[in-house]
Amino acid sequence: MEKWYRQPPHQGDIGISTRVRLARNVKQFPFKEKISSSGQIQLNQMVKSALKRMDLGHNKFGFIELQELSELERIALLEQNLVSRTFLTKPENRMLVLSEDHSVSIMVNEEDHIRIQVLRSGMDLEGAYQLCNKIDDILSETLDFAFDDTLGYLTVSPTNLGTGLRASVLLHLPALERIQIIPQLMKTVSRMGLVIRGSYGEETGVIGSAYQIANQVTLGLSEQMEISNLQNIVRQVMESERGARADILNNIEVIDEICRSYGILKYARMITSKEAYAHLSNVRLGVSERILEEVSLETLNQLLNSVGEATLSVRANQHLNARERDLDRARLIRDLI
Amino acid sequence: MLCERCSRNQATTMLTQRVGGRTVTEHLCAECAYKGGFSSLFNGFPFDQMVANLARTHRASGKRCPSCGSSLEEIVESGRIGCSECYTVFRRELMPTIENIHGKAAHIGKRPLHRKEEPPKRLLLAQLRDDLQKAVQEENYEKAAQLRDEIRGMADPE
Repeated sequence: MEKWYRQPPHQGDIGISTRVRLARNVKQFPFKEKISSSGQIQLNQMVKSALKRMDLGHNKFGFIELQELSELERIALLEQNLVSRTFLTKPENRMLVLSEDHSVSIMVNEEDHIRIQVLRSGMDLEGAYQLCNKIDDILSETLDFAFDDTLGYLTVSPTNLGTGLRASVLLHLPALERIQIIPQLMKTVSRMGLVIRGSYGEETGVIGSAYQIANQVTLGLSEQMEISNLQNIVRQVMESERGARADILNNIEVIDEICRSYGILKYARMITSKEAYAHLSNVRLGVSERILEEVSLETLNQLLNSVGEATLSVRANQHLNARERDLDRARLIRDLI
Repeated sequence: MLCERCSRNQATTMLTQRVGGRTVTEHLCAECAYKGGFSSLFNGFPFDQMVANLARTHRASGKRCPSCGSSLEEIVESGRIGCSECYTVFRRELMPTIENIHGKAAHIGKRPLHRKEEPPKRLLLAQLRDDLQKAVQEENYEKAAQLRDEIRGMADPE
């Protein structure tokens, strides 16, 4: 089955991907710091049997005990945004429910008992939320979630109280970045109760002009309101980016940079991840604006999810050193582009 | 490495921004990152000074959640609530922080499915929880434990 990132993206010229997460806790168990091992194991079983009733169509759920994976496999999951860093710190008794196309990942015994995550190609907040909501309904048929009339769904961190819903859209903003408007944008967006941050590499800074915009307030708003607030802001940011692109693409230097990046990706024999992300970003701009016709956005999305260090090693079925990774990365990119 | 803003706590967040065409990188502790609005989207939450002060006052009273045994001090230290009952037991103390994050607000979103079907049980539980909170406030831990078991029994028929 094709992975989620191979699906045609909605508003893919700027929207890279959409992520919606719901945080839930089961009333009968204490939270993360206080739950016993046997409680954790029981919770895994309860989630497993609840989800076996769910019909995902052609898609199927796999149930993965985190401690049965190698460290490399676990890091690869993180690189593909399928688990959180917190989830990997202590793999004991943690379970990951992963759909075959990787669009649904459910972390059990993470910071909250259950984190339901749905990923979608491009900008598709409605679609992602609907599926998240459906999974939540199925789970709540058999699980009694911790809930309070005033505070809503009760969560380990008070920042997630209420709906427990975090929605984010990853946007490609090379033009706004080039005209140096991002810091101003960050301020404006945060005034609206949303947060924007650079993506790809918490340790390496903003790479590939990818920015994530997410909601922050989860109490006092309905799920629909949260989603539509975010949608409105994202649409406005997209419009500004489109305007800025129209301006910068009159510039032959920018076009030249895009085409050179394509040349490097097409012919390089070795490439670091940092370099790859930077050139993939330029090529994405070229493809979105129909300067480059040879590559599809689906292929670029696939590459974004495939060129991480651990992901390459897992693919090669052995631990690769930096040099081997750079070789493999360049080969994979040449094969797909 | 220490936080570059407060020079007090361990830096846990690396923040990179484009400022005036230059890339500026800062290493921040969780608290300063949160103040700057750059906290990790889902993880541990630094409580504000007000709750921290309350926690210190609480240490003297020894008040703990009868369900999971957490004290307010532990909650503040870890940035994590111990169990769903803690929200009842420490509600008064936690409310200012919750309002700081979300504003003065009450939940208007989705409700768990079973809640719509069984309002009497829900109301009874709410009553029991009120009683539990009262018992804890009066430091009547024997009664609190009894109420806790009753609440648990209702929540889980097994």
